[in-house]
Amino acid sequence: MAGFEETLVAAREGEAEALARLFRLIYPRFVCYVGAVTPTDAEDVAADAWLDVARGLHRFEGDEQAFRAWAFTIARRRLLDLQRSRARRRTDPVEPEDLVGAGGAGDVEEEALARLGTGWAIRLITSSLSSDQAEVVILRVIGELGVDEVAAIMGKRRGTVRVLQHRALRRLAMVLEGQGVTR
Amino acid sequence: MSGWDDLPYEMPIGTIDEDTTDRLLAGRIHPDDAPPGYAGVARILQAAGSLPRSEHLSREAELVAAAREVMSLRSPPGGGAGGSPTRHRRALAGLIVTGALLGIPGLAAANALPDPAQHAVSRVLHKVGISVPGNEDHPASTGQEISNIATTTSSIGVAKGAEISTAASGGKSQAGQHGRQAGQHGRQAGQHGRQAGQHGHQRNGGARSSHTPSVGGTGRADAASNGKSTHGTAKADVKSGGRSSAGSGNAATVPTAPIEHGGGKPAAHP
Repeated sequence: MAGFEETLVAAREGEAEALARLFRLIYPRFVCYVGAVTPTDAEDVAADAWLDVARGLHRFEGDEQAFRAWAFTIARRRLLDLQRSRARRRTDPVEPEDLVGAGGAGDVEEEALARLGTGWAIRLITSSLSSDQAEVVILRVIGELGVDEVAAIMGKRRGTVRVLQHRALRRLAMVLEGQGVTR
Repeated sequence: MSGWDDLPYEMPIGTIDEDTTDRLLAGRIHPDDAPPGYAGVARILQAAGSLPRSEHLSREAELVAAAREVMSLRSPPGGGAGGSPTRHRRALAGLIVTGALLGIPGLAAANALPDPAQHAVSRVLHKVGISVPGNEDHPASTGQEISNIATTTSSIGVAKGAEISTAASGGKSQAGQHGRQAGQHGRQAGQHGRQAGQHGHQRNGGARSSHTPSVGGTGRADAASNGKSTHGTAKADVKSGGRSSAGSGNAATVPTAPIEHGGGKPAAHP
């Protein structure tokens, strides 16, 4: 299988298979990332962001990690455009109780584990954390990005991102503890 | 040594360091190995990171094709033969503005603009140190000035009108100078009798007009029209009940036209 560099070169030439590999690399992440903020528009915004990536592919230079960071910068810009156009944030918040505390008589942890899925986990993250904390966690987990890359994408300092992610995990732990998921 | 799961149920949430935070976020800590209070966090983060890729790949063919299309539409670096419509519009607008900036002063320098425009451009260009002909020589640039001429002139009748018209038009008006129309139609002859008389007065050195100024003009008009002018004037006068402008000499020669009515009256010269 071709390495990332070869894939990138072929994709720039418009080779379908190379573009498809790049698509599989970032599009599902885009959907999850955008869906964490605006679930109803996730597919559309992710598609627009993907086409923006394709348009700018000839300008990109770097490895796979840098490519993900660059692609998420584009996706985030698309997301902000959407939010500006609507002038309001659509997070469709869901109370943690609705997500976690479904069980009662049985084994709560088992029930929670059975219901664990990417969408469910992301909704729990976004509903439990502040928007900045949630975005840091999602960019780090779904984008597989480092602190420096997340800081660059969000326009924040490295130290700020570190504080945000630390508080985010502690907050998540407290929420889950309160629901009996953690012991 | 016991694992994290062996800790008491009410174990308080501990503090984690940066490295543990990074490893949790990277999904590299199994829930069983998570610090006290963080097992659920580890599960949540692992679940979030395990992307359901197939679920999002149903549009792969469509979006890859779309990507190829947008890439093929991208103009080559440096610009090719084609350009964006916006760029074309900007270029056209630039040409129009440049043309206007060059053309208007050129027309102004040639004094080829309409008077108001010439005056305005002249004033603007004068402010930036460029001198082009203006319409400063206009004898009467304001309505007040025209009004003053109209109220203070000693001329009356045609002469007054001609004076005002001349002032207002900067000498371009030919008002009061054309009497020949009098011979073309009887009614016109009557209407322009005064003009005809004036014309005759001028042509004949004023000798005849001093006595019968209107007759001279009308006579000329009459001669020119082979007698139709007189006839036409009388006819117009009859038709109008004396209110037509039949005047001057015709009024005197045709008794049926009472000269004290209508336009015949001004036939008398001062």
